[in-house]
Amino acid sequence: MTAMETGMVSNRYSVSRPFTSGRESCSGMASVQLSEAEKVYILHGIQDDLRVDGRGCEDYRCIEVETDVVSNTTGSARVKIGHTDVLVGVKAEMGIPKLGSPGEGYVEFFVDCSANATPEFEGRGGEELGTEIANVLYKIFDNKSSLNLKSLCIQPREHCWVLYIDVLLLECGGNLFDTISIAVKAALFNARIPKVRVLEDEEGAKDFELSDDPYDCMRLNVTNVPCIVTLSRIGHRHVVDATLQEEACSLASVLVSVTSKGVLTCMRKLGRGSLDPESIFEMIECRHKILRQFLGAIPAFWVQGKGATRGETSTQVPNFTHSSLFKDKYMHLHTQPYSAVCMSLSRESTAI
Amino acid sequence: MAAGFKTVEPLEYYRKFLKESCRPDGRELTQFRTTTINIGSITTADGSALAKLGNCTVICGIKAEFAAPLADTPSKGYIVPNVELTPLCSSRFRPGPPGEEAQMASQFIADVIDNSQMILKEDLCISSGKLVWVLYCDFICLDYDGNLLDTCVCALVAALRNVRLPAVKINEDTGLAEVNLKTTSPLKILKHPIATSFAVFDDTFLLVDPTGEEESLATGLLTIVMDEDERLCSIRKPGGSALSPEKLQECISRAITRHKEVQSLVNEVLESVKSEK
Amino acid sequence: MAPDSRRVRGPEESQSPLLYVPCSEAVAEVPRAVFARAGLLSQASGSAYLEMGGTKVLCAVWGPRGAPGRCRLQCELRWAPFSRRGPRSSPRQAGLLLQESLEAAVRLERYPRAELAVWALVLEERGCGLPLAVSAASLALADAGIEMYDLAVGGGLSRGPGGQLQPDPLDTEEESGATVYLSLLPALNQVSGLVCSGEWEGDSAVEAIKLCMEGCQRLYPVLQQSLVKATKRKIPEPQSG
Repeated sequence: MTAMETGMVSNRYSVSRPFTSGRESCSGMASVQLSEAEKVYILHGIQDDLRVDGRGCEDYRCIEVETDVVSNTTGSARVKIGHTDVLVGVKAEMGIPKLGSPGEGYVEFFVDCSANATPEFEGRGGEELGTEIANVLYKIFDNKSSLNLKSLCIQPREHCWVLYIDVLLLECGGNLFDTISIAVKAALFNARIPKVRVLEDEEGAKDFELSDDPYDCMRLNVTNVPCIVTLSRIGHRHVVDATLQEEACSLASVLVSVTSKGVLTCMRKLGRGSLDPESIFEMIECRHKILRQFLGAIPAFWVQGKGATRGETSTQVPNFTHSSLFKDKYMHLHTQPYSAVCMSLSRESTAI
Repeated sequence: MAAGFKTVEPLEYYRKFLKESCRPDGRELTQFRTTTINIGSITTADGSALAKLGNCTVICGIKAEFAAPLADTPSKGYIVPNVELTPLCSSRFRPGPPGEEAQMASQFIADVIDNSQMILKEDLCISSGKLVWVLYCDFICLDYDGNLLDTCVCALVAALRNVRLPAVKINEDTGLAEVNLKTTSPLKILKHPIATSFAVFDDTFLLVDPTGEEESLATGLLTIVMDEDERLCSIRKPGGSALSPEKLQECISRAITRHKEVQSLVNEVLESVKSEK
Repeated sequence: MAPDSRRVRGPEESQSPLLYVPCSEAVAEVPRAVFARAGLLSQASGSAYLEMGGTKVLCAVWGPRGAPGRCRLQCELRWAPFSRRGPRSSPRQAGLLLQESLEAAVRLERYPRAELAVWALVLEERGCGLPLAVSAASLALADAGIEMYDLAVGGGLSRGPGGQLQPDPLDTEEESGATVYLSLLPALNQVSGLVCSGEWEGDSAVEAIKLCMEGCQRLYPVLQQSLVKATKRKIPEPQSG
């Protein structure tokens, strides 16, 4: 891009829209410093549906999902999207049902922003972001269909399973929320909760018996566990799966959590800018398109792989290579030990 | 000119007024600021009151909950006062756990409740050894302008008189409590303690109901709590200049008249609340 | 947990009696009248009190006061312990939501090396506490004389069990299903804050957002009037504060 062009472009984009003329990335998460010229370059590219790494506006980076990574958890998953790396562990413990819902178990979230991810998280720096992410997770699970909490009940009013979901951020490379939601879903899918039998003797004293067989366990139905799609507004368009650099160019983004049926379970505006109502409607609408390529494929694999052990995983592969929705997408699948799945939704660079 | 003098020499400025036995805001030395009480404005609480002395505003909300009694006092309930001084009311407070002044105020209120015997904790018992009421009295200061304690105690008395507890029965079969919201009863309040605060200026002048400015300039503070039988429930005098017995007696007499004023105000407000319904 | 010596100690555990009420009665629906007043606190730089059908929110603004770095808008939103029916909940923190909704409305670049602190307290929550806090906060900011592009006006909406959309829901209605909270800059027609929860199928979310925006537009003149009144009160006696 010549200096002339840059000058022209910056004129075009620094139009007097004062409420979107800030600096910095949206929320308090890890951010990078970009020069004006770099921003204009990114902005200009996005205007033409071509991002710095060759993707189009609605393309995800390669998503790598690896489950069963931590042996002493009930279920675990590690998800990488680009440089973003997240580890989620699910631990099931017995607890007492909440008074308001005696016939249900419940889920607790804890998000740890490790100082390894970015120096900004050192000390108490990551705390705010951690609570913020946990709050969003509570919100997307705060409805009846996301997870069947009744299945977590052992005995009404007395005993239930409590799922402690710990999220550890290993590296932040943009698009944290989406990555975390996929990791949570994968970890829940991976969770094997021991079956419990309640034994009652004549005096009414209760005893629990946990099955010794590691395969005699309960699996959770994760079909309706929503995934988050974050749409960042950059210039006059929105992009999905923004990198750190792109997040720095965006003043406002909308976080949408959608189930595989396209039902919206949570929506949040993030960042310091404001949005045109029309562009919000556009973003809500666009979830269907993204969902079809993204949610449609992964859960189908996860759900059909229900109860799958290591050996069976590979048999599921054809199920989604044949998916017609991916016809113009280039993707690879590796079957690594512990059912690791890697798929790419990114368009091959020559295809553009 | 006056404003400049006030900023540069606030103490001198005050002395000029005190010599004439009046204060910069036009009050006499023994005069309270306008006292406003609003009872029952928070309907989500079991009892609530807003008390205002001039600008100083405190809201008290009381929530009643069930708890198990302590093993050594099986038939005593709990009353838990908590004063919050948030950054909302003054820039001198920071968010986070209660600071020194808030801790002092909470403890002071707890002492007033205990010493005055205004409520017998035995009256809060539902089933001895099993279930008692706990009254959480939360005070939030909305506007901080001196004389926090008087305002808090006013709000406490008014809010407690507004409390209505639902009827509770213990179901003998299940052992669980059954609550009937339709039949409610007020608390049995035996005494009505009222606090009166003074600021001591230059060891000689006694100013009743000091404003925030007066509190910061004063050489000593004094708070007296009296009940309707003219008995002393509590005196708080945190250091500062010494007081002669005569002066103290003077303060006590003022506190007695103040008690009557507040008591009639609370009654009046309660009457008007009732007639509205 | 170690006992907190900074507070008067109560029992370790307690429960709300409402959990033991055989069946909870529905609260009678009342038309939600709005009352707005700006500039009522003596100490804060700016303040506002908003009431809508039982929900009461008080907000204070401090600043601009000196702070290193670029201007920050520090927001805190709390619920009083007695603000809800049922259990005496520990206060939730929702400062970030408030901050996101307000940042787009305030001309922060006009206050370099300064800090603006916004403190909002929900005294009574009968539904729509959050959007009301946004409106109260922008009123308080305007009352403090902070330069703004527009007032951020909050609006709420919930979907009842029958699928009907109910603007300015009560707390009982909010519990039952899906809710949308939105904050709008009416003059600029920009959405500065959006929180949606519950399940929204198809285009129902779009419809809900549109309805919410209409609600904000209706509240806008009420807020403007209260600001005009507050300013008029200040003019005749400039030394009252």
